[in-house]
Amino acid sequence: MIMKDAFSGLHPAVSFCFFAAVITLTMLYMHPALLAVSIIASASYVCILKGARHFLKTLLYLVPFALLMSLINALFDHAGVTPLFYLSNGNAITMEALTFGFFASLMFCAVMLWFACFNVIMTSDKLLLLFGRLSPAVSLLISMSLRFVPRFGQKIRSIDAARTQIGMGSAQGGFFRRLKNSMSVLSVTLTWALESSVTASNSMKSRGYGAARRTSFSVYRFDARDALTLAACFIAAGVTVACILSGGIYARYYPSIIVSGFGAVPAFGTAAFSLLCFAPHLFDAKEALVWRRLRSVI
Amino acid sequence: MNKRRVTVAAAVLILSAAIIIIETYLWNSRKYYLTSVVIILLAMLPFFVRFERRRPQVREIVLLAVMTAFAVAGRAAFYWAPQFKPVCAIVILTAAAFNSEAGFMVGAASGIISNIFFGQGPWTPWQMLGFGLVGFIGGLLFYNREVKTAPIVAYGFFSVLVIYGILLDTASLLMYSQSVTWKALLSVYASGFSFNLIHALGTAVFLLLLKKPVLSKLGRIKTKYGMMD
Repeated sequence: MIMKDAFSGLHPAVSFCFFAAVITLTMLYMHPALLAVSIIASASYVCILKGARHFLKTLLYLVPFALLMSLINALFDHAGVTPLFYLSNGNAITMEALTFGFFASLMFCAVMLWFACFNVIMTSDKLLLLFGRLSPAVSLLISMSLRFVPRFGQKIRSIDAARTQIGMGSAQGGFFRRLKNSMSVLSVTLTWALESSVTASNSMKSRGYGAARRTSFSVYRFDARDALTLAACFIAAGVTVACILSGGIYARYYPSIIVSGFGAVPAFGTAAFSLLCFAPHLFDAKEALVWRRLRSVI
Repeated sequence: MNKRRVTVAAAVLILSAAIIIIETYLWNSRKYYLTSVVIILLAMLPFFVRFERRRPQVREIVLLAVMTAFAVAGRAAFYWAPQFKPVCAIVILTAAAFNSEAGFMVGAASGIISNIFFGQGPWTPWQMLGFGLVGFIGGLLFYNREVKTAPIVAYGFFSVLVIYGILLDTASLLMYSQSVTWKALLSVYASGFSFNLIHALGTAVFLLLLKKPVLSKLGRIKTKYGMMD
């Protein structure tokens, strides 16, 4: 069953900043601890958003791909001081290249999983709300073509249905006949679309488009809860970056592997990064608790 | 070319060079993907800013939206044929009929919108740039000239194979690997070649089929309503 996710109900700006921070930080530094946190958080969040079955299906192509990628890295990259064995052409397969490839593909998987969550949460209306104010012309272009895509689909179906009645449908005749018929359907649709675009723009103009700043409807409100979550995410990301920059969290793969071990700074940085990555989970848990408490009061 | 364009181009180049130098020599990290995405966004920014500041007519925006939607619907209609997509063909035809800026906008917008339907990912900026560039160069070559079939089909084939193909193959290498060597790059191009070839052939076929009807329709709309002058 797919759980209800409260984090996606936050203001789009918060969700966008969260994804931007998490994805950039995941790609920014290849430290095993940070990668582990990122991949566990993204995997479990995909499960929450899309269900465990969907997650397993994703794994089906992600895991072989990741394994392949780490192998390919070892085949092409011969740097590193610990040769495991030699290929017939004298090139070494090194432990460093193998390890690096493994963590690189892990990073790739984490980014893909975060994008899977991004695609569920950042719907087109949220993206337009965020970037619409930045560029009204481009956002009008995008929102109108978003509307046109399903509308063209409908029109294509109705034109095709009409043409099928006179034996010229896109599924009638041999291969070349069908291709020709499909092209005519597309051609008719395009003519209709272009003419109707002129009608639409005339109508928009006579209703005063361009007379003033374009406003946009939004159901989202930026309240204290959003501000708090955003601030927490920023602080967590800042602390993580500070720990990386100070050299407290450190990972090097070539020529030999050096990874910063246990200590106050790495632990602190990893904790901050965990707080960031698990923000949706924590937020959902908090909402669930509040809900339970409210219900038990009744 | 006017002075301002040269200044903007120089600024983008210098900034990109600065980013690469800082990244390589100061931080000495191997963040190829992040660096390249920053540079791509930087390179696309002037196009969007110019489009915005020109205060385009409503008609123009709606027309570009129609062409974008046509490209995206085309990609959706051919979901069953991997790589065999009409997006580039439609972008090139739009550029030939209107101008290179229109080609870029339709290309970049098709990149975003088709991914709203098919899923955003780390590849989105690259696709935007790829489609946009194919359209932009197409506009430079074919806009305001008599468009003959052979050159535009040839352009469609080679631009997809070389510009779009190489961009997206480079992107996939940068996405999943941090060890970028010539050898790895060549092997990625080699493995992606068959896919790019299908994409390029598809674009050529669509251009062959769509060139006459689409160009005449767009030309008709242009003359009838006096647009995009």
